[in-house]
Amino acid sequence: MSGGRVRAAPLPSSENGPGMTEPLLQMTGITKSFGGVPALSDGNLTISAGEVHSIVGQNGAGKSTLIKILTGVYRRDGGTIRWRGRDVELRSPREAQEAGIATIYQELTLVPQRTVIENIVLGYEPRTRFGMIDWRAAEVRTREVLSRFAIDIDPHRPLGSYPTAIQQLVAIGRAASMNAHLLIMDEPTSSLDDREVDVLFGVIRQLRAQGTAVLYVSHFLDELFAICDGVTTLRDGRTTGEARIPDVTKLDLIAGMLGRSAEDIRAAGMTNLAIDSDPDGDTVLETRNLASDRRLRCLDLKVRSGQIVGLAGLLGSGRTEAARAIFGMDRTTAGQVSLQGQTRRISSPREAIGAGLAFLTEDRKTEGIIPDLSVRENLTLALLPRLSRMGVIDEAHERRIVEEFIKALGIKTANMDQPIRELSGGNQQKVLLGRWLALEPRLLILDEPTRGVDVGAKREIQAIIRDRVAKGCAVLLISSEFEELIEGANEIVVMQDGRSVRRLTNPGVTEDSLINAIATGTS
Amino acid sequence: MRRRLDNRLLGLIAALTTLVVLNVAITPNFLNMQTLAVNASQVSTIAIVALGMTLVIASGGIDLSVGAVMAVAGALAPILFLSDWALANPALGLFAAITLPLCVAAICGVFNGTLISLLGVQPIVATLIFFISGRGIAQVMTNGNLQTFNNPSFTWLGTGRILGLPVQAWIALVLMLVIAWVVRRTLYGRYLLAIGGNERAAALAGVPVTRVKIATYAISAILAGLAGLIVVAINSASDAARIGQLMELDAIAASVVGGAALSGGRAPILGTVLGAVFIQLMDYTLIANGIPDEATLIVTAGIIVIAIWLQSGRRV
Repeated sequence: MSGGRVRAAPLPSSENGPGMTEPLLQMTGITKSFGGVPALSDGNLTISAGEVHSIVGQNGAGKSTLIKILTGVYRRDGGTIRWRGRDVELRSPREAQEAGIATIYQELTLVPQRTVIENIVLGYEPRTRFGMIDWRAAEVRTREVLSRFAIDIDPHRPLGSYPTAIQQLVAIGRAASMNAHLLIMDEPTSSLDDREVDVLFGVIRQLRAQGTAVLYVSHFLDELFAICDGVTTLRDGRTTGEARIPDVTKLDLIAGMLGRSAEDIRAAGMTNLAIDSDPDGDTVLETRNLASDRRLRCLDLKVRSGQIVGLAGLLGSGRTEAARAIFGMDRTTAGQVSLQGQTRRISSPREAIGAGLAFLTEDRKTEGIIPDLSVRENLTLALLPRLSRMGVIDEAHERRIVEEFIKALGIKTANMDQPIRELSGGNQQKVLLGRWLALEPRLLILDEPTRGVDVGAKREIQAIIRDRVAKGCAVLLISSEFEELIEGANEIVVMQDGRSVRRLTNPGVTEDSLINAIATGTS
Repeated sequence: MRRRLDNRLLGLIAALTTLVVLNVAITPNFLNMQTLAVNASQVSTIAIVALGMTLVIASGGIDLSVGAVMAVAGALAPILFLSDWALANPALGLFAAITLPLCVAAICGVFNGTLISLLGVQPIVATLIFFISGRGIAQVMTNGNLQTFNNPSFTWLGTGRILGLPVQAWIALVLMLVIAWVVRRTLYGRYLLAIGGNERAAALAGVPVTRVKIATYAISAILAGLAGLIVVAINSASDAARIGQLMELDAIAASVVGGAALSGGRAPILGTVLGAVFIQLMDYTLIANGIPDEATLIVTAGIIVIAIWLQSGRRV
C-alpha cells in the first residue's frame, strides 16, 4: 500500500496519531468486486467527529463504491468498518441511517408536493396518545431545525415551492434532526448557483461546529479548499493518500488522482509549449466569451477546417457544457458564436444541424440511440429530411447509404433492420457516429467518442475521425483520455470552472504538460 | 423490432382464427353476409378511432378526448345540414356538414397537442380537459336535445353498402392502409417512432418534436371526428350525451391488444385493426351464444389483461 501513496499527500501524524481518541469512522482495507472485476481492492477512509472530509478520484477509482458500502447499499467483500468505536455491519441503507449515517442525494428524495413540516418528519412522525400524527410537535421540531440553520421559510408551504437550494437545506436539516453523526453529500452543488453554494457552506460550517461530520464529494476541487478539513485520494480501487486540506495544493490533489507526483508535473510542464498553430484551413467555428445558463462562464475557442481541437479539463470543468451551448441545447447568456466568420444565434439542435454542426453526445443511452428502431432508422435519423421528398422517404436511397456506412465503419450487425439495442456498445457508437458523418458536417463535436467501447472499436472509431478530418471536417474533441487528445488534437484548449484557461499546440504537448495545464490552469 | 412485432401479430391472427373456427362450429348462421356486415359496421368506428389512438400512444402519449371529440363532431353535423342555408344548397350543405366538423375536431387536436408539447402538460391531463368539457360543449350546442333527421346522402356514410360491406368498413380499411404507409414510409412516421422511442435523442438529431406531436393529436382528433359522423349517420340521429361514450377505452384496448406499447415507440397499425376486430368478435360470440352482457364485459377485460401480460413478458 505504501508504494501507492502520493508523496505530496503525506498523512499528518498530529491528527490521527496515537493518544488521540478514536475517530468517528474508520474503514480499513475494504474490498469489493462485481462479477469478478475488482472495484475496490484496498479502500481506506477515516473521518473524525466534526470534520468535513472529502474523497477525490477519477471516474472508476472506486469513490462511489466506497460510499455505497458506507451507506449500506453494497455489502463489502472484505475489510472492517469501525463506527463510533465499534465494528459494524451495515446491511441496508436503513441500517446505516439508523446508525446515524445520513445521505443527501444528488437527486432530492423528498416529496415536493407536501409541506416543509411533513417532509421534515416524514417516516418519523411524532404521535399523539391516540396514534394520530402530532402536528403541533411536528411543527415545533421543524421550527427548531429551520432556526438552527437560519433557514427563513414558511414551514406550512409545499417544499416544491422553494428553490432547489432551499430544498437541499431542508433535506440536510431533516437528516441532522434525526441525529445523524455523519452526513454524506454527493455533488451537493451541482444544481446550485454561487450564492446558494455560500448558503450551503454556511450550513456545513454550522454542522461542523455542532460536532456532525460531513463527507463532501464534489468534482469542483475549489470547493474542497473552501469547505473541507481533510481529503482522501482514491486511485484504481485503492486509497492512495490522506491529507489535511491546508497541507496540500490543488496540484497535489490532481497529481494524486492521476498517479504522479506534483514535482514531476511541475518540472515537465513548463516546457514544450509552442504558440503558433496550423495556419491553413478556414475558421469554421469561433466563440468569444461564450457563457450559458449552465456553468459555462467564458469560452474562447477557434476550430479550423481540417483540424482537431481538443477540450481538456477535469469533470465539471465545463467541457460538455461548452458543446451544449454551441449546439443550441443550453441558452447562452453572453458572448457570441460565429460559424465561417458569420455571427450566428443557434437556439436548438435543429438549427445547429441546419448550420452544418453535428454533436455526438457522451451519453449514448439517453441522448443517442432510439433502442427499438433499427440500425438503419437510427443511422439516418438526422439525415432523413435530405432523403425524402414531400415528406416521403426514398427508401432505396436510404438503404444504399446505410449499406455504405455499415461497410465503411465496419458495423457488426446481422442486417440493417436489426434493432440497435441488440448491438454491442462499440457498434452502437459507430452507428451514432454514422448518423452524424452522413450529414457531412462542417464541424463535428465529439464528446467522449470512445468511452465504454472495446479497444478494437476504439481504434476504428479514431481512424474514422482522422479520415474525416483529412477530408476537411473540423472536429471539436472532448476527451478525458490524454492519449486521445495528445495523439489526435492539433490544439488543446484547457478548461477550468467553466472557462477556457489555456491553449496548447501540438506537436509539443506531452502528457505531463497537459496534466500540468489542467492542474494549474489560469496562473 | 420487426421480428417481435411479427410474433405478436401472428399470435393475434392465431387467436382470431381460433375464434372464427369456434363460431363456425357453435354459432348459428355465423357464416353469412349479414353477420359479417353487422360485425363490420360495429367494429369500424372503434377501428378508426383506435388508429389515431395508436399513433398517439406511439408518440408516448394517450388521448382521452376522442369520445368527446366524436360527440362534438357528431352534434355539429346535423346542425349544419339541417340549417336553412344547407337545405337551400344540399350539395354544399352536405360538404360543409362533413368538412366543418372535421376541422373543429382538428382544432381540438391541435389544442391538445399544443398543451402537451409546448406547455409540457402531461397527455393524460391535457386530454382530460376535452374528455370532460367536450361532451358538455356538444350538449350545449344541441340544447341537450336528440336531433333526428332524414338525409339519405349523409346517412349513406353509416348505412350504405359497397360490394356487400358497409361503407364505414371500407373507410376503416382505406385509412388503415394509408396510415400504415404513412408510418412506414414518411418522414412523419419515422419521426413519430423516434420521439416515442427516445424523445431526447430525437430532439438532438434535429427531429421537430413539437410539430410532430401536435400533428399526431390533430390526426387522432380528426379520426375521432370522422367516427362521430359515422355514428350519427348510422342512427339517423344525434344524441350528444351518448355519441362516442367510453370510446376512448375501447380504442385504447384495441391498440394495446394490437401490440402498441404505452411506453411509446411502436405503431402496429394492422395489429390495431385486428385488435379491434378481435374484441368485437369476442363480444359477438358471447352475445350470440346467449351469454349475458355483464359477463361479456368481464371477458373483454380478461383479454386486455392477457394482452398486457404477453407484452410485459416479452419485453427485453
